Amino acid sequence: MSQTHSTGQGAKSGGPANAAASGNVVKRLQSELMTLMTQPTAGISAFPAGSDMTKWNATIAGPADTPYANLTLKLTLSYPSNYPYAPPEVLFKSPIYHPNVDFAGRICLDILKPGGAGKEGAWSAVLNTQTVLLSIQSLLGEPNNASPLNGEAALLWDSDKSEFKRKVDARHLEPAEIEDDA
Amino acid sequence: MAAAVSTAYDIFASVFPPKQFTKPTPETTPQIGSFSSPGESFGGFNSPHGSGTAQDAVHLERAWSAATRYLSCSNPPDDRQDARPSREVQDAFFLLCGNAAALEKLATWCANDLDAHVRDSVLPKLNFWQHPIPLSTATEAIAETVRVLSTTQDTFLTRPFALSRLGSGALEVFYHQVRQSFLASALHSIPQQRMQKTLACAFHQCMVQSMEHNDPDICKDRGLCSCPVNLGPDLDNLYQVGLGGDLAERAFAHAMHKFLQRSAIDRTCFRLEWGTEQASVVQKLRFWVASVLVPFIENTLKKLSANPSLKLSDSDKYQFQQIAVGSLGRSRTANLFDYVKKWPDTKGALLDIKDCMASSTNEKSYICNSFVQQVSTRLLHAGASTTEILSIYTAVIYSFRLLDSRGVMLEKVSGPIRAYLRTRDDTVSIIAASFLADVDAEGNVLATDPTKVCADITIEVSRSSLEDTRDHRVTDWNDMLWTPDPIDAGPDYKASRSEDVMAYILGLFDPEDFIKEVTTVLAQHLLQATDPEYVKETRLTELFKSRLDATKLQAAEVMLKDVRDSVSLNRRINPSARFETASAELPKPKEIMAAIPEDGITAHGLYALFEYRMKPAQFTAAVNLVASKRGELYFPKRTRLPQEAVRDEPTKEGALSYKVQVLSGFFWPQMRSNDFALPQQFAEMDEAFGERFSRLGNQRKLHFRKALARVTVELELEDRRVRETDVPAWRASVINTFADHEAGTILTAEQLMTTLGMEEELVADALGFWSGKRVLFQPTPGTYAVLESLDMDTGPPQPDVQPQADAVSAMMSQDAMLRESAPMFETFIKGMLRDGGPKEIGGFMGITNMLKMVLPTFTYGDDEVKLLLNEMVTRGEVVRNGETWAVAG
Repeated sequence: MSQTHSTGQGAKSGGPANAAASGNVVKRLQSELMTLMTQPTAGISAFPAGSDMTKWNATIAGPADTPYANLTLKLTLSYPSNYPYAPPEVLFKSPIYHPNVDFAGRICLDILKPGGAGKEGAWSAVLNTQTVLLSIQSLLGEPNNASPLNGEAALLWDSDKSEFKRKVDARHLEPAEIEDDA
Repeated sequence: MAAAVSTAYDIFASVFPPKQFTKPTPETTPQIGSFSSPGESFGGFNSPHGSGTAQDAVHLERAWSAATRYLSCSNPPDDRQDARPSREVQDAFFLLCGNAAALEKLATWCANDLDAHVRDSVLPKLNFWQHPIPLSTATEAIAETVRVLSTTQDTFLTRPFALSRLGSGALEVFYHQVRQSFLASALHSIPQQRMQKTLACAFHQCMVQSMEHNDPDICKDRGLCSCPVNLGPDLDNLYQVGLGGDLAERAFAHAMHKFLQRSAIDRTCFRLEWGTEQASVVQKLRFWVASVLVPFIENTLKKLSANPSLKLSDSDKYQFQQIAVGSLGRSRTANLFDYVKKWPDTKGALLDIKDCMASSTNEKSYICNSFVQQVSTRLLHAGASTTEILSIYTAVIYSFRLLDSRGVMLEKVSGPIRAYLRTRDDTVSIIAASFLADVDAEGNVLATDPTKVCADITIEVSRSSLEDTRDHRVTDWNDMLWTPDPIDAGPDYKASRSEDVMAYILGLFDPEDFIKEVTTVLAQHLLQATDPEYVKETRLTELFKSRLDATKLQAAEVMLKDVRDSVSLNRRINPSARFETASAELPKPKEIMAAIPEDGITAHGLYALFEYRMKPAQFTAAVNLVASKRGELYFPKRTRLPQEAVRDEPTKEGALSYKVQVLSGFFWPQMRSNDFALPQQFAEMDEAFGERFSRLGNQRKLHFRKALARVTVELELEDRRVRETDVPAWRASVINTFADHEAGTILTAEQLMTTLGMEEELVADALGFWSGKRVLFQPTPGTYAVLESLDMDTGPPQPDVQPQADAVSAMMSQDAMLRESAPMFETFIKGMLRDGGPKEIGGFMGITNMLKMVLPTFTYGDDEVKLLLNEMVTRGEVVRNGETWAVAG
């Protein structure tokens, strides 16, 4: 759902200004990276994945006092050419058992959907990579069970916390294991 | 059939002579009437067709006998008179002449007879030919041979010669046959090859010797060379003794070849003309060959072949000119590197080479190859300094543009030099420094460190124009001067009309690298510049903008604007600043002229540069003096302005003069940021300035770079005054600390470091500096005190410590920058490895490349990354696994 919106937005602002826009994206991302590096937030980190500055890898440490404590979760971020006027596309790369994350790693979070008048999403240009990752980190401890992508997980979260924890652990892979798969 | 048989027999006989020749028949034993075997008893002629009747046979027999007796060499005649044939002999020969077979027989007999005598009396005299002839005696050997041959020839051939005078054609033929066989038997013993070589050598020696007597001054006065050549008398009658003909012609050709290669060219008349007013000598050489050498060759060949009608064709003459010009070109090319090095004094040599090139097509590649080889053996090695290579590079550009205006040859020869220059680390910085060095009125370069500045480039910059010379050829469809690329151009040949030395030098490097380096040097220069209008720096920036990508020079422009703004800023908010310097005076017309760009400027734009300093009316008057107006724009006039008197700046006394430069940190190269305590007064002034600056209401934050400050220090000591201008602030701080203490205080370096919060490096530099100036001295090693009067110091005078460049430079060195930024780089590396998984250092997706991509300030290579990684490994932050690195834990 969120994908269709973001494509629409991209098409609107694309065109002749695209090259300049992507130059601005790179500049913005560079400054975000600088902030992330110079003022790091514990439990969160992100870095460009390769020569393309608009594709990043991120790492979130599972928050303490949640079923995800002590787990390291990998994500990928992909920034559209009109970023920060459209949200980045964020996916979990580590397999995760969570009410708001489907089995392909897609995340249901309002700030990851395009915002503005007439839109259901809550993305805003003042948000950045750091805030997005922090929101996702807090989503781990406080799922939005009202609109689950994984109904079973939503039910278990409310009913059986220990079974939930077991399913989380069963599904989780450490980053090193993901690397081996790849 | 019979003829065929006889021919075959002759061939066989020529190899294995079967005949037993008789001695001349004794007169007293005539055996008349032996018909059964006519002539057999004498072994004479036995042709069955020769004798018709017995009477004829007898007559022939008698004639033969008389002839052989006359011709026999056993009793050679004493003189020509003696050799005159008697009546009887004459009759005998006339009779024999009637019988061709008999005459031929007689010739054979004669040859055999001569052969025996030659072997006995001539060959021993020519024995020296059996051994190789030394070059030095070649002429003598030939002369001796000629002498021996001509005397013996005289002796042995007098009689046949006398016969040939009798007026019978057959006898003349007979004489030539006999002569041929004599020469054949005499010369047969001399090795032909050796003879030819020796002859060639002798010819050459004679020609060279004959040239030595010529007086080059005569030619010089006439402006033409007409030095004669000759072979000398010794070799005149070669043909007469059988040494002419093909052998001699071949030898002469060899000699002439050698002569043209060296001796003919390498003479005072065709010597290289030095100095700036030179012309090619090729014309002179062509004239000499045509008017002197070719007639000489013609005459010599006539003599050697005894053919008086021999004539050289025009194409032969042209050929000789070409050979001479070609060898001149070769001999010049062999020293081409020296000529290029001495440019422009050797223009003559280059013009010679150019003329030679015009005469032959494959000469070009020979010259290029030869020069490239000379350069690689003589220049492109560790022994040559970069400034030297650069200055030769500029000379190469000039020289080869003269040789080939289309630049094809230059393209070929400059390749190796360019490639080599790129491998030198200091090339870019030397070029950048050379661009900014000062040139005085006489064209001498004023450089602080001559090893860091290439004077040729500096002079070039001062000459070059601000024209936009970038290549527009491809897109300029209206270019009526367009020509196709030369056929011998390489694939990377770029046709360009106005490539000058600047373009070649700027093209040496990647523009980005170059701009970066130039920015650093420019920053250093701007900080030290005293000219408040920064005319020179402005001009240079404009120059770069016209040559390189203007958008990439943003930093340089910002830097210029910063220092200019600082001047007015100081005036506005720094009450203690004084402007007795040029900025307060009226701008000189020269300055205005310098400020007008080549492509014109509007009056308003120009006045904006000077509005602080002059009224509009004054300005208009000055502009009209130096600029011409076309349309809305002003252009600089091409006239020279009268020299202006240089005025000394008045020295300032009393209150402290204080000036601040506000720079935009983002656009300037990273600068020295050492922190230390300034003398109280300075610190207060900094504070006051900072406060006023913030009141101006702009958003900029002011951060004082104390290490960059420069101070004029005046010290009053007991017996003298010391004045030092442009002293770095740390030195002032150190000496001020001594002033703050009471007289005679002894301080150590450590004490100073703690008092001032200054780094050891700077303290050491300051102490060294003041000790060198004999302001401080060491009462005991390691401690310092003020040397109030010179007689206090009993120790040996200390050498004037030259401050290390690194300690003084306002810009941080690469290494220091790496050190300072290391924590940030390490954070990035950690982030990269954590989020991107383990990585190698090199490669497209390696750590170095990733860092460069995400962090534009990271300008280091794999080595530095490895250094950082190893440090991180020792701290346990990173682990190494083979070639890959990963975050620990």
